[in-house]
Amino acid sequence: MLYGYKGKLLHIDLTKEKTKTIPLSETILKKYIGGRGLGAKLYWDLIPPGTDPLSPQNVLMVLSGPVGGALVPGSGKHVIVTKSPASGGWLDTYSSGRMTPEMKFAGYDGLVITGRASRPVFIFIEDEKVEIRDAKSFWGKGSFETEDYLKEAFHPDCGEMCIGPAGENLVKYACVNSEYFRQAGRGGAGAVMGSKNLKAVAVKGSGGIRCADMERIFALIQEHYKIFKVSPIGIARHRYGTPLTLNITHPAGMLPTRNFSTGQFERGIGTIDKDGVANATTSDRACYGCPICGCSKFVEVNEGLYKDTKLEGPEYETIGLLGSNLDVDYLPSIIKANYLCDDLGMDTISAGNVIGFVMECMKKGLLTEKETGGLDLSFGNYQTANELLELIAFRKGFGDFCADGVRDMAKAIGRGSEDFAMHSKGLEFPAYDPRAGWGSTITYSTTARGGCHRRAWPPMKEVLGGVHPFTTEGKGQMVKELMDDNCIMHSLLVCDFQGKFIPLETRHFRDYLHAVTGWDYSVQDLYGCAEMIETLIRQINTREGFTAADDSLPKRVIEESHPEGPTKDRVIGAENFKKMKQDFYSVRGWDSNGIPTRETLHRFKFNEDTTFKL
Amino acid sequence: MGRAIVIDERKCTGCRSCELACSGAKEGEFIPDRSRIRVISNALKGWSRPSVCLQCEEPMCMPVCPVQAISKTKTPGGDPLIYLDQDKCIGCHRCIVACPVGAIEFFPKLKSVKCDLCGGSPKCVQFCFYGCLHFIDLSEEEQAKRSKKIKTLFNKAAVEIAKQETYRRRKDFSLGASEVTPPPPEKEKVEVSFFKDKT
Repeated sequence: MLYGYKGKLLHIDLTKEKTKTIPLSETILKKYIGGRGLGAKLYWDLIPPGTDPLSPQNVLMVLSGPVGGALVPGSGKHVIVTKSPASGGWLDTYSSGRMTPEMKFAGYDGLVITGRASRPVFIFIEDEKVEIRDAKSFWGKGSFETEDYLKEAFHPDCGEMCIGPAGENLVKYACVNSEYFRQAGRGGAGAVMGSKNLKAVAVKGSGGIRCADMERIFALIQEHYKIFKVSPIGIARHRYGTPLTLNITHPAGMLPTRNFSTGQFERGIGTIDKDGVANATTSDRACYGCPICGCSKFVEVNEGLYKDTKLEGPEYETIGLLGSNLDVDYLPSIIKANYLCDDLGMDTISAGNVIGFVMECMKKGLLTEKETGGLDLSFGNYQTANELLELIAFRKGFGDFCADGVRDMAKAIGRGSEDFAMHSKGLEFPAYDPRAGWGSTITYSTTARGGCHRRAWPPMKEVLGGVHPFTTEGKGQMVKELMDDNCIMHSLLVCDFQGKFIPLETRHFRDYLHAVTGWDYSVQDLYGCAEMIETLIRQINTREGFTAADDSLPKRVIEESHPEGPTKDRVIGAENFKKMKQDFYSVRGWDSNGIPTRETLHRFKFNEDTTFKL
Repeated sequence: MGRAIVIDERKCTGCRSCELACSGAKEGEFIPDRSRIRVISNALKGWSRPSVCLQCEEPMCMPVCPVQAISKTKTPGGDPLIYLDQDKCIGCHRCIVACPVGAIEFFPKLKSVKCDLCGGSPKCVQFCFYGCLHFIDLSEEEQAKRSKKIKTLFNKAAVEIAKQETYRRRKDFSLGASEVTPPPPEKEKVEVSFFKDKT
C-alpha cells in the first residue's frame, strides 16, 4: 500500500473534454519523489522540444509531493510545471493553499491538463467526477471575484486555482492564483492557462491521506517546534514576515533600487521595511497546514489615496520591486499595486522589473510620453505605475508593449537598453542584486527557469552566513549545495522557508518523508535525487536548444558597480562571472557548455525508466 | 475546577493545523472534513477562527437525544466533558440541529461525532503553535462566568436561528409536512348547468 501518495494522476484533455487517470508506479515515485522531481520526469516525457508554450500541445501540470497535506511544516504547497512563455523552456512555479491536500483527498497526486477548450471553462473535480463548466461570464473578471464564486458555487473548503485578466490576455508574466493572496507567480503559467481557455480549477475530495507512521509525524513536529522556539531567525521571521528581508538586503547593498542602479534605499527604512509593514498589520496569516513558521501578514491602509485596501502581504519581493526599484517609499502604494497584481493575475516581481525598466528608459530618453501614451512614468510616480498595471493586464495601449517582459521590450527599444533589462532567459530578476553577493550570479544565470531566487538563496551564506560575498572562491560548490537542499524540499514538496527559518535540515525532511511514506531514504540518497533532478531539468533545457550562452546576465550586473554602500566600486567582471559559472558546471558534472556529460547522464540511468504517454 | 479549550480568535492564522491534527488523531488519517474542530475563514478580510464544542454546562444537544447517547461527564483529569456515546447513537442528527454553534459533526452515512477533548489532552491545542487554542484550568468563579456567557449566547443564537430558520424550514419541508396524513377523499362534484332546460 502507498502511504502519502495516491499513486495516480488525473489527465484532462480540454480539446476532447475527456479525462483519464495515469498510474504512477512505486519505482518512478521512489526515484523522482514528487513535486519538482516528478515534474521533470513528466516534462521530459510529455512535452516534446519545440512545443509552443501557448499552443494546445503544451502541458500544464499541477503536482503535489509525498508529504503534502500531512501536517508537515510548509507542506501546503503545489507546483505548476509547464513550458514557460517567458523563457521558452522549463518552468516550475510554486504556490500554496488547498490544491495539494484536496487533490489528494480526491485521490490524485496531480493533474495533467492538455489541449484547449473551445470556450472559457472551469474544471470542477469531485473525487472521480470531473466536470468542465462554462466560464464565459467570468472571462475578464478579476481573480478574487472568481475565487469567491468557486468557494460559493462549488465548496467553501475546496482547493482552487485561477487566472485573472493578465492570464487571459497571455501576459508573459501572468500568474496563477490560489487561495486569494497566494500565487504561482513566475514564468507565465497564468498565460498557459489562458491559452487553454481555462479560467480556474477547483477540487474537492472526500478521502484522506494515510501515512505510514502518524505518531512519528506528530512527534517530529513537536520536536521541531522546540528548535523553532529558540531560533532567533525563526522568531523574527514569524514576527515580521518577509519584509524583514529588506532590513537585511539594504545594509548589504543588495536591495534593487531605481531599476537596480543602486543597492540601497535609505528612505525605505521605517517606511516600507519590517516596521513599515508591522504598523499596517492587522493580523498574522499562514498557508494551509503550516503549523510552525507561518509568516504572512494581513495589512490594511487607513488613509490617503488607497484607503481601505486590504491585503495579505506585501512580501519582500513585492516591496523591493514595486517599492525601492521604482523609487517608491509609500507603503500604501505598494499595497495597492500588490492588490492590483493579485487581482489582475500578474507576477509582482516581473511587473516591478518592467515598470522599473520603463522608468529608466524614460529617464534616459529612450522612451517618451509619445510612446507611453501620455503616461509620465518617472521614478517615484506610483500613481501612474499603478495605472499601467491595469493596462498591461488587458494589453491596452502602452500596456500591450509591456506585457511581454523586459527582454522583448529591450529588443524592441534597442539603443543599449538591453544592458539594464534585468532578466535572465526572459525571467526578470527578484529583489537581490547579485553584485552584493556574487553567488546570485550563478543562480540567476544557470537556473533553468531564468532569473530566480527560489532554486537557492545565496544571501543565507553571503549576508547571514559569514561567506565572503565579493569573491568567486567556492561559489560554484556553495550554490550547488544550496540548490540541492531546495530541490529536495521542492520535490517533497515543502516550503523552503521551513528549512531556513525553523531551521530544518535535510535529515529532518528525510525523517518526515520516512514517517509519511514508510520509505527509507538516507540523506545521501536524497542528495543523489537532487543531483539527478537538476541534471534532468538541465537536459530538458538543453533539448530545447539552450546553451551556456543563455546562462547570461545583463551588462549592468557584470560591468557596472554601485555608486554607494558596501558594493561601491566593486565590479564582478566577465572573467569572474565566467569562472563561477564554469565552477558550477563542473561540480554538477556538466561540460564547459553547461551540457550534462555522458558519464553524468549514465550515472542517473534515465534510459531505464518507463516513459509516460498520454 | 477543570480545564476547557479557550480560543483567542485574533491569533488564528487560518493554517488549519488543528483540523489536520484532530483528524489525524481521531480518524487515523489526515482528513480535515472529519475533524471535530473546524475553521471558518474569510481570506479577503483577513480573518479566520476555529469552532469547537464548548462542553457547556447546560448543553442543548443533550436533552434532544432520543436514546440518551449524550451525557455530562468528566475526563480522567476532571475536565467537564459532554460525551457522545457512538455505540448508542442512532444517527438521527437531532443534536446537530440543536447545537447553536455548530459544534457537532456528522459524516455521510455515519453517526454524530463531537470533540471529546482527546480524554484530557486535546490534539488540536497541542498543534496550535500560534497561540490561538489553549487548554486552561478555570477557577469555579471563571467557570460560572463562562457558563453564564454561554447561556446568554445560546439564548441570543436561538432567537436568531429561529428567525432565519423558520421560513426556510417552512419553505423546504412544508410540502413533506402536508403529506404526512392522506387528505380525506374529495367530495363528489355536483354537475352544474348554466343553461335553462328548454323543455
